[in-house]
Amino acid sequence: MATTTTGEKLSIPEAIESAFIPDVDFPLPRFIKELPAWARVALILFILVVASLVLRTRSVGQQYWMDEAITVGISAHHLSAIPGIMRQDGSPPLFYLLLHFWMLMVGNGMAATHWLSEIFAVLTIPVGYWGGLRIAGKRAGLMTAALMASSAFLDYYSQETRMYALMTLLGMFGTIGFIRGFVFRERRFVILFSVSEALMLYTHNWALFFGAGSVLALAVLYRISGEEIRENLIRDAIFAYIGAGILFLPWLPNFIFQSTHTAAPWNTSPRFGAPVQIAQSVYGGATVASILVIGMLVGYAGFFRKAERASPKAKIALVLFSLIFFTLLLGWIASQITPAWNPRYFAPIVPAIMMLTAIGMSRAGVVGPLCLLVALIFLARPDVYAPQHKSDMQDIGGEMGPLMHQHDLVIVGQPEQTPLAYYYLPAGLRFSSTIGPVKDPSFVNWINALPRYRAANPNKVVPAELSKLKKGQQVLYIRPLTEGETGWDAPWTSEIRRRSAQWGKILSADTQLTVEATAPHNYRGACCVADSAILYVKK
Amino acid sequence: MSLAKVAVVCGFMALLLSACGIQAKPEAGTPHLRHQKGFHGLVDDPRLPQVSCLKSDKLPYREYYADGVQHLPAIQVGARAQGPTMIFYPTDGIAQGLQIMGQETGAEVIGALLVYPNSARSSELTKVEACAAIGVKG
Repeated sequence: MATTTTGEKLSIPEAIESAFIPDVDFPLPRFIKELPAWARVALILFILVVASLVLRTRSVGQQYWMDEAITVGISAHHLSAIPGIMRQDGSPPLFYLLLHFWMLMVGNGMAATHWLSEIFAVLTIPVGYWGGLRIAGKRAGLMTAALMASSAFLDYYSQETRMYALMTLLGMFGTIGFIRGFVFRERRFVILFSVSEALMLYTHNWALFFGAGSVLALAVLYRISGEEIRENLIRDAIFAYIGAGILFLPWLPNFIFQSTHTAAPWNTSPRFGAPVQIAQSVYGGATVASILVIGMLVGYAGFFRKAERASPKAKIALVLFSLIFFTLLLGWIASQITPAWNPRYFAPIVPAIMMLTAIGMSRAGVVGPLCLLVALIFLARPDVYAPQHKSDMQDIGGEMGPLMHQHDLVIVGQPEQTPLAYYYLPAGLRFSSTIGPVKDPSFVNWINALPRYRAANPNKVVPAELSKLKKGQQVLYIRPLTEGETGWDAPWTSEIRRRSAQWGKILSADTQLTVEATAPHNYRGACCVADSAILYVKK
Repeated sequence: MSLAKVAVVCGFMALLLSACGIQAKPEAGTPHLRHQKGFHGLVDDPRLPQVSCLKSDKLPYREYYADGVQHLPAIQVGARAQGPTMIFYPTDGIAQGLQIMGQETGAEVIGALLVYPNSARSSELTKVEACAAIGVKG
């Protein structure tokens, strides 16, 4: 495996470190200084892993919200059925398949499934160290590991049964592969980038923006580099992207079907708040973001001098920045046409953001570690970045479940909450949503969902459903709490808010129905969407 | 492959094949549903901190549900109509709204609770109010 580096010796991390980082001798206890270097690193990584687990396991057993219940519902199906169901869902299958095997081993309880994400989040710490080490030396590695261990983004998504922690881990491998492969020109890392990109494509659709963003970042690299980097760069890049494409081919027909038939009608187009969203969801708030960015900018200040502008370290920083910037820009532009913008989708670029920050801080002498320390103090607050209450459906299930009988009807005002209600209610119930009867309540059929929803006239659908009820049978109507304005202004969600009220009116006006119970009796709020429920019995 | 690796792989395969992880959900109508394995619903009883507080204060109490469809969780401290009564509403806003609209004029609003003093002694009422205030923000 030939490397094409001919000029600067970028392939030796130690050489980079010595040139890259101003020396700062920190006062450490003697017994730590006497440890071998590998043992010191191992000790620090161990402490970071333990600290991150302390931070990230306090809410590990908490209830699901609707997206998690959909994920668990799909993954609980037979392995061969999952790809077919995914065509109706709109997501790629990798996380669902992994979760399927995980649940076979450890169960489908809330803590059990959250732990899968927890493991991916923990893995970003040693991988982050390795990446930082290979790109900018040991101090950058340790700082990357520290930022991954305390990342507000991972505090949230390590306790969520969704693909975002996995996507962050894959994004870490992808970023390391990209920098080492194309800036350092090591072809085995080009392979790592290619495989990571393929796995990301199988995990979340924002991998497309990451891939396209990396192409533009490569163009920047090509523009600012000399022959030592340009040589065979385009050829290696073509191989990398074709390789990822070939690996993705088996899923391509499903992807095309999903793209043309499913969408995210609950989303709205983004404006210019991306920097604020990054500060909040990735860094953990304006204060932490300010501290880290100051530390980073002090480290990068030297690059504003002409002499350093063309240095290899400046290239690394610029390419990392380009990767982040172009991924976000493409996601933003695409979302103006088909909305696909949410801070949780930033997962593939979180590692690049953290690495860019860590490398900058590692160059900032004593300012970098100080900024990191202060930021860690702000970040080391359990419960701040992980929601305490995602939904109230567990309570609704707990209160209403024992009151229900076989073949009773459950009507869910927000169709995508049906799998959540299904998860928390007992078996043997019939389900319907405000679109109409639901054959399999464990997932959502998003194919042409909005036109189908608009076509479902409550004055026809509700009487048809109620006419199937026998005397003495019950109907549980679960509808979302829509008190806030944000989240209810997209085409899909505004329709849900209206339809839920229309269904509520028809049910309450039906003289054959009597109210038996309501829930919840203890509403603690919810980060995401909460519900209220009314149990009727047919006279 | 070493014997240890084979053993680990076999262990994982056995776990996968046994599919022991996922518990089947109990059917609707099953007696004692909340105690059945595989049922994920859980009542979020708001009274737990107050009950624990009353216990530590050695105050006699009885948990019950207020009459009517609303089935509101409630605690009677001491004898009915004499000792204080706590009624738990789903949110602070509902409790506050009832007072603002003049519907529950004989109650103190503490968070999401309406506390009816009835004819309780002052010392007893002080303890009950302190218990009621657990978890109340602001």
